[in-house]
Amino acid sequence: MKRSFPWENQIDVSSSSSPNSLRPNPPTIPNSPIDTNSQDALIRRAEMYQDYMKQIPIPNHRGTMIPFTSWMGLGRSMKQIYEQPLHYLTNILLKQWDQLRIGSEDEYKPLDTIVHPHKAEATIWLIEEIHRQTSSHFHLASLWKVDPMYNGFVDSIFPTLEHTS
Amino acid sequence: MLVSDSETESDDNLSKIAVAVDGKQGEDEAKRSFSADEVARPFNSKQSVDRDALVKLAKKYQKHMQNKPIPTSRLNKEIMVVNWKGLAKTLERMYGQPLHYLTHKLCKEWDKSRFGSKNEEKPLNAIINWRDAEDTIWKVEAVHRLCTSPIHLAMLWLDDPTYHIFVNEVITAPSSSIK
Repeated sequence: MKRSFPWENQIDVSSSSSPNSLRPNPPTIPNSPIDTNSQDALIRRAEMYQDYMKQIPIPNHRGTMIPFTSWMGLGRSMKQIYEQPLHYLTNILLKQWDQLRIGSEDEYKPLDTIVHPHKAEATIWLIEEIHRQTSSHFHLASLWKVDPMYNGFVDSIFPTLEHTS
Repeated sequence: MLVSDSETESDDNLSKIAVAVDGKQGEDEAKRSFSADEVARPFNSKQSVDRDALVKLAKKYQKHMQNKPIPTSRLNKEIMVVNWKGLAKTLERMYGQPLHYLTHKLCKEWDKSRFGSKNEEKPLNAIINWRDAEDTIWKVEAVHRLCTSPIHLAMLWLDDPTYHIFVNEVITAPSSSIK
């Protein structure tokens, strides 16, 4: 991560009603104060997060061809086009996949010359569904506990539609 | 919050990997393998590893994996999917191909990430359609075969004493598809 994502500073969402009635109302995800119950608070926060992510349906109409040079770049574009967050675990995996290429022969080739855009996007949605449907909030909380920057990979529930280009 | 120092990124990687290794300590999956020139041997300490040899082995491994084509036609045989690790092994058997070290690693992480979830006790195909599950494995496998840097792979292997289990399946018998 060498530059900020648009949603990075919008981790906590207000409880105001959603303008899009098709989308479930987002929960308030409170910041947990650092105290003796901070671990319980983290588990509760992870539970609210996971319960919410589980409700978001995977988009079924996908026809866009999205050019991309990196996995995280593709993830970013998908969030903007489909107006959905991606799961923390998906964001982490995309980062790992970009790191995976460092030092390879094809390192500097644009990624969409190696993996076809349709296939790449389909791959991410399949993985996203796994993370939304099967992840345990206890597991999430244990990861967040040891990842001081986990907020950076927990998307705002309404990603900003900024012109980042 | 921004990780701009590559050394910092490397440290993050290693610390995460260390956690993964802890999770594996309780599992005894070691196979006995015959001695041979290219057989990867388990080791007990990072200090005893010849890093150059590990990178060379990773290059050979990655080259082998890169040359294996992903199956284009699915066998369309319904698979009982209880967990990801089981599915990965079933696919290896059905298609006669080894799956990448990183695909096995991800399957293990996906199984682990279900512990404590509300549908933990359900078999996986009660939640994820088995065709989607199989499709996911092959799409992920394609990423790992096509996009993995051997140097990065060797770095991961430094912290994983069990990597040889997967390497030996690919390099010791490259011309035959056992199991």
